[in-house]
Amino acid sequence: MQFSKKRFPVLEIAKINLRHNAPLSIAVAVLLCLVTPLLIGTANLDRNSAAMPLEMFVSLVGVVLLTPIFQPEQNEEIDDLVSSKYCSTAKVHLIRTVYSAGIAALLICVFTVSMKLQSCDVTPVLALGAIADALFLGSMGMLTSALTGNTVIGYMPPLLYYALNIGMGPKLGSLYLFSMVTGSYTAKLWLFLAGLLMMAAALFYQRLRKRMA
Amino acid sequence: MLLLQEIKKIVKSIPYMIFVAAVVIGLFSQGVFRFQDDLLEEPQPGGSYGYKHEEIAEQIMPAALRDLLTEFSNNNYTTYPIGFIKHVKLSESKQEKMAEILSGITGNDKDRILQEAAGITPGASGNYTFQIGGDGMQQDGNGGFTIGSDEKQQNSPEKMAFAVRDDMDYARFKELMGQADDLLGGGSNYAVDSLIGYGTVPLTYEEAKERYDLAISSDKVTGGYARLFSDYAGVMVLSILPVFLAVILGMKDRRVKMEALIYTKKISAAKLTFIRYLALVIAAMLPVILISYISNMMVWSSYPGIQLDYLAPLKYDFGWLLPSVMISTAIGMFLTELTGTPIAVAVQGLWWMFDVNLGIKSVSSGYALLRLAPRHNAGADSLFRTQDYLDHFGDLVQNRLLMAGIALALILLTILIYESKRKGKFGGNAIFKKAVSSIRDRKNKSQA
Repeated sequence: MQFSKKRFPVLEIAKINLRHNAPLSIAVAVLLCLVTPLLIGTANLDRNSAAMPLEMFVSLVGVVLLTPIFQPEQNEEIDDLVSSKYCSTAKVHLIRTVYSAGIAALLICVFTVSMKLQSCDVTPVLALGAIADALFLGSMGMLTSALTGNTVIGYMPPLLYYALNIGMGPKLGSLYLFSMVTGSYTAKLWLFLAGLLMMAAALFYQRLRKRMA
Repeated sequence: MLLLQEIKKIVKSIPYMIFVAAVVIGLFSQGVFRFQDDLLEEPQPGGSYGYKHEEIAEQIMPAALRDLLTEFSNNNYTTYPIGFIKHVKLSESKQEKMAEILSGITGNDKDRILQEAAGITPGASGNYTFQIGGDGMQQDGNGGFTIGSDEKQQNSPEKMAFAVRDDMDYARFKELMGQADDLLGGGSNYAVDSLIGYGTVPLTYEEAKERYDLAISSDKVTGGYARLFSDYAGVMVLSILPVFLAVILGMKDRRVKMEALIYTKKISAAKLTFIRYLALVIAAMLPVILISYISNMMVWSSYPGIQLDYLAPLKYDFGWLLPSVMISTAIGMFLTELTGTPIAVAVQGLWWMFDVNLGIKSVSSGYALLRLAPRHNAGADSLFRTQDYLDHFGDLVQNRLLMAGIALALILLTILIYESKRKGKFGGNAIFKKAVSSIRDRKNKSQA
């Protein structure tokens, strides 16, 4: 397929990446959503209880989907190949980030709707809070992956941070992941902003490294 | 020596440094360096020594009935079928069965209970409204419970009183509560084994002293702290982080394109795989052994005159934590060799996540057979719960041996896969890739 050098084929790139790079991550994320109701109640929950499956389980889709954003180019041969193309790798990373975050948000919304259908007192705010958690954890994985050049290492900090939240609880203050269970929502704003910041830092660092190489 | 070379290779790597940092941060967050703040104190006569659960029928029966009535009237039952909280809403027919059970316990007519407690008119479909909430329930002076709906209170001063019938035998009560638990799908507070939770009595001085003496004689103090450390270390870091080291090392040969070269070496697949496994396990255990001693040493000077077990941290490191490290590492090596992908991180991550959350209910004593990280966490507050530990020691041994056994079996499989790959008989995820490409080819052909 021929493209003009002036026109950046965003949709084509997204389609190809979704077909080749994303299926495994999407499958694991969907599996996580499907397994959650088998293990924890997702019916007839009041608002604070309904936050539990969203914050503690479904938000992990962010780690699954966002951490491997830079994985394909971490293979040197692929990196050499894509570097020879006119398409900017930074833009490809941005496209992957946008669709991965979009899929994470979509899965969380679908899960929230399914809880609503099971008579849970869920509101859009709960879904937004879970999305903030997902972006925060996922961007932490993205940043580590960019800094170390290894996606597998990228999964470590978000999982450790998740464990710290279980162990330390609200002591983590504005960056506490499970605050909605206690009816508090302000931490989500900080998590969302920190998530966006880490995402931007990861994309910027990856671009910088590429230029310096 | 190859083992030393492998260990050096691991400990000098960036992932290992991140691993050590994560172990330190994870354990620091749990307060393992502040054990000196929780010292055992010998109970003194005349003090308060905490509480214990006991099967006292007179306490259990009214308290359990109160909870069941509250949940019945709201048709919102809380259960923990596999550890996670689950809210159960019963169908109308099951609510009727629950009313039968309540009728058996209280001696009241089933239809009356349905109508007055849950607002259900038997036989009238669609009439399924709940008028009574838990707030409407009050205990009277005779141990019975009065339930009244707002509407009922407005229209009629008459209230319905429920109490355990006078001639109720505790064995029969347990049987009926067991039926209620079955109706809810299990895992409720009404399960026969859980009813004891409703019976609470204060500990006597003699009992508290006995617990203290057991912590001194059996745990020799340091054992209790080592157990608490193992609880934190197992659940926070060692059940999950070693998988990363295993996956990264497993994929490194391919990343640096040394896989084919290593295949040509004389060393056997069994020796190479096992040495690498051993190196990973040793590397993962090194910081843990060090930190366990640092943590334990913090309290040594606080117990002058008491004979301490200075090897306790080491015993717990090997007996309690090593199997967790072994299974986590083995899953990492096996799945990486099998698939050539980091899928082991997802598999171990999911198992760990569910195991951690299962621990929320069984945190005080979770030695179930398939627990990835056994839990024993009540700390110095209950004098280490040494008796609980001794009572369930057999379960713990079974769990740890099973985990170590599965780990070794997985390593055996890893050796077989490696050997097959070396001989060119097995291409890792080649089968998967072939299947995907054949589907793609078929699709392309049909489009053409």
